[in-house]
Amino acid sequence: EFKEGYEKPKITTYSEEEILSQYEF
Amino acid sequence: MVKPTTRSPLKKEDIVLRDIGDETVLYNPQTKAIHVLNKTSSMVWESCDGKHSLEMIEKKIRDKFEVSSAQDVKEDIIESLNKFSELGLINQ
Repeated sequence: EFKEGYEKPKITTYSEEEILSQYEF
Repeated sequence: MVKPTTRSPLKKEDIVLRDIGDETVLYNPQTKAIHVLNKTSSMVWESCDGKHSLEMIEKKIRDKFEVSSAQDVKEDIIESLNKFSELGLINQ
């Protein structure tokens, strides 16, 4: 069985304003 | 802080979730913050159902991924749970 390599857990946080200003729930 | 062996963390009910490709996006309406989780932290998040202990989450991750001996999965999970707690995403 092929298993993917383990990656450390990563959590990236953005504010709502950041998201809305960068891109045109 | 999470007490590693005794706690079974539980997601807060008002967190909104969307799966986008390999990542999970969480929206916390209380803080109006958006959190993007990679595959591993998504798996930790999914396991925050009040039933999974740290050991159970670790087993789930080891079953899914190829983990080298140099990687400390348990420590990574504890860090993730502490981060979730800091961000107001789980109840301790």
